[in-house]
Amino acid sequence: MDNDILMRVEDLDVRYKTRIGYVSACDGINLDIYKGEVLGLVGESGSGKSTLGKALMRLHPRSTVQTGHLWFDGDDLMAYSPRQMRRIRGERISMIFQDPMTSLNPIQRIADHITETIKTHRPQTSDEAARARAAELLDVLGITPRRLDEYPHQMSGGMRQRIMISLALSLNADLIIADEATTSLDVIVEAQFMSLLKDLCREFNLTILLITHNIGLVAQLSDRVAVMYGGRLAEVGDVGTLFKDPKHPYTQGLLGSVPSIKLHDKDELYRMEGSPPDLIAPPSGCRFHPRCPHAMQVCVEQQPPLAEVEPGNPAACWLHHPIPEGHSAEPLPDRQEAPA
Amino acid sequence: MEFNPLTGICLSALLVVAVLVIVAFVRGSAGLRTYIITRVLLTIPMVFVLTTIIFFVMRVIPGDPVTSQLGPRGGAEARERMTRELGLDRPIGVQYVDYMTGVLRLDLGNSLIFGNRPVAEELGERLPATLELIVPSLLFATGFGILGGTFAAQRRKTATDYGLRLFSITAYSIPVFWLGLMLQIVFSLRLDLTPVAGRMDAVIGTTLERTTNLYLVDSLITGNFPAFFSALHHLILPVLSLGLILSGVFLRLSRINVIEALTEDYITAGRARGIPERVLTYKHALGNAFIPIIALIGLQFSVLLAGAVLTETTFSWPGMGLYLIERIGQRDYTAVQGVIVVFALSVTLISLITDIIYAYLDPRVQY
Ligand SMILES: Nc1ncnc2c1ncn2[C@@H]1O[C@H](COP(=O)(O)OP(=O)(O)O)[C@@H](O)[C@H]1O
Ligand code: SF4
Ligand SMILES: [Mg+2]
Repeated sequence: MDNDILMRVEDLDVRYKTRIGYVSACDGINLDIYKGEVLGLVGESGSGKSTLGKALMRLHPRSTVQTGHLWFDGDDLMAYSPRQMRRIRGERISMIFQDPMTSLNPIQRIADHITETIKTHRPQTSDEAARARAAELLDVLGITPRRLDEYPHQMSGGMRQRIMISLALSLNADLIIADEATTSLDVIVEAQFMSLLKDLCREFNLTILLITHNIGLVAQLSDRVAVMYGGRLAEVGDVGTLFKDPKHPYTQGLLGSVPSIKLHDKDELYRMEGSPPDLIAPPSGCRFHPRCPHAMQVCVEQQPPLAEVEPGNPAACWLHHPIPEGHSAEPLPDRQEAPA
Repeated sequence: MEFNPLTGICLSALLVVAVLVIVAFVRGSAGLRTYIITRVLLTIPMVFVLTTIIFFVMRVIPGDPVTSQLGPRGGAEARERMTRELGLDRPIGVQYVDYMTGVLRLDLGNSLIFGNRPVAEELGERLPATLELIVPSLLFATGFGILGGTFAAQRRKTATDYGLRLFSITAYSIPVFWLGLMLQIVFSLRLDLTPVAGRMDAVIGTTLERTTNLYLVDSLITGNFPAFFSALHHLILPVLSLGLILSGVFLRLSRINVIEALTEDYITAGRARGIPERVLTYKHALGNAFIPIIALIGLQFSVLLAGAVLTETTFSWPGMGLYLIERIGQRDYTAVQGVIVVFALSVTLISLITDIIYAYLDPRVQY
């Protein structure tokens, strides 16, 4: 494995069991996360971003089927026992959750959240050392250590989100997964949060999987971006390339490079024509075909491979790959021609 | 007022309340303070109303203390004399005002049946017996119920969970006297392991020096170990009956609350930090679920008292419940009123205490 790769996700499938069938929320995900990078993961709501984030830490309950490989430090996390997995969580991989209002235990003081995490992984740490570390973390995030003994409800949303970050940083995890970490914050706090995260990235050389709705956040913070659609990766590339020259029609739609899609604010971003795919009975072939302006016959029949279009910029779209024998590039009757 | 166990118990209860109120005053918010003052002040009209109701209800239902003692054939002259002696010949309004002014002076009056002992003195013997029954029962019920419920919640949808749920529903629905009787039949009559009734072996009982009338306490402070073990031995079945019945509702509530707490985001977040499942369940989830459970203890206290009445009847346990049943039968108005006053006071007391603990435990509570 490439030395610079921190985690390699290989053929990852996640299926939720429901009464009316399995939800295919991650299907054949292949993704490398490099050391020290900020990798943005974008896609409309319901595309499987959180599912993927949780899958990397194997946080799904047993009733959820998860298969594939998660290569991390030469080991496959999928082969780990629950006990081994527990040691990885918090210590090697940590997570910042979407809702800081509900992600802290309401009856536990801020300090105890941090010291409990430290002492769980390093039981020999003294109480004083753990508390000193907690104070130091709060300080890094611009919170006075006086607030260590407060309860979560005494703090504002932005403050709590910083506590969530300090928890994620408390053991110097190698990989931090931030799932919609700013969604619940208002615009001003979000801006502060972004600049804070940027500073932290630089200062601690963090590796972050930044799951977000917010293209602006991705543009400012990420090195690379992975675009997800209907439980699959549509396109992966470095920010510059991907923003300048998106290959996948869905990415193009996302970025508003297609004039027929109007973008107002971040919530409008994905208000693309049509509705997100039903993941219990997903569309055949390319899952985007019901909404794709360029859909061809082959798109209905065959799943496009996530193969490189340019070096380091793979996209799963038949517009960029040779169409296999026996399939046709004829546009679907109601669609326009493929772009030149 | 002469010192007796009732006064002692009332004083210690007052002490507990005082400490809690002071703690709440010092640590709590202004809102909590007014809340507590209101609650304490509200107790007075509540006890007043309850006592009034029971005063008139006792006199409206057929039968009276004179008939119950002299029998239907008692001569007219004897009846008249007794009625006069008990003060029952006076107009009911006068009797009422007389009784209520007495209560205000903490005088519960005299019993209306032979001996005419002060009710407070009789209750002084009975209340400790009831306390000795309900405190261990409540501890057993909450301990077993809460741990069982949490255990089941962690093993949701497994055989253990279904088993415990079945137990909880059963415990919830069978009457306490029926369970008591079954336990008596099996353990006392068939296996001869436990006594059938009473608080203590009669012979050993003569050696016990009674000061608090809490036999476990009395025997311990005098170092009378045979008496201590006899008291424990007699406690097993009544506590088991009352405790098991009561544990059902605690088990149910704990299970539901812990299951719900386990779905909260902070549990997932804790799991993502590598906190072990055991800690997540018993510390984080149960810690949060514990708050509604505390509230339930307050609410269940009246159920506990009702259960205690039935348990005492089943096991001839000479507590307040058995006393109440006996005296209702004998139409001993003052005695019944006295029991009601004590019950009403203790129910408000317990709910006040649980409220304060609740407010103390949950940092978010604002009154
Ligand atoms: N616990 C679950 N059970 C069943 N389906 C789920 C569950 N969690 C998420 N899903 C479904 O999986 C899909 C992906 O969800 P999610 O990963 O939360 O998407 P995103 O984070 O991109 O919004 C959605 O269709 C969602 O409805
Ligand atoms: S594969 Fe076909 S349907 Fe899918 S994005 Fe490309 S053109 Fe559109
Ligand atoms: Mg999500």
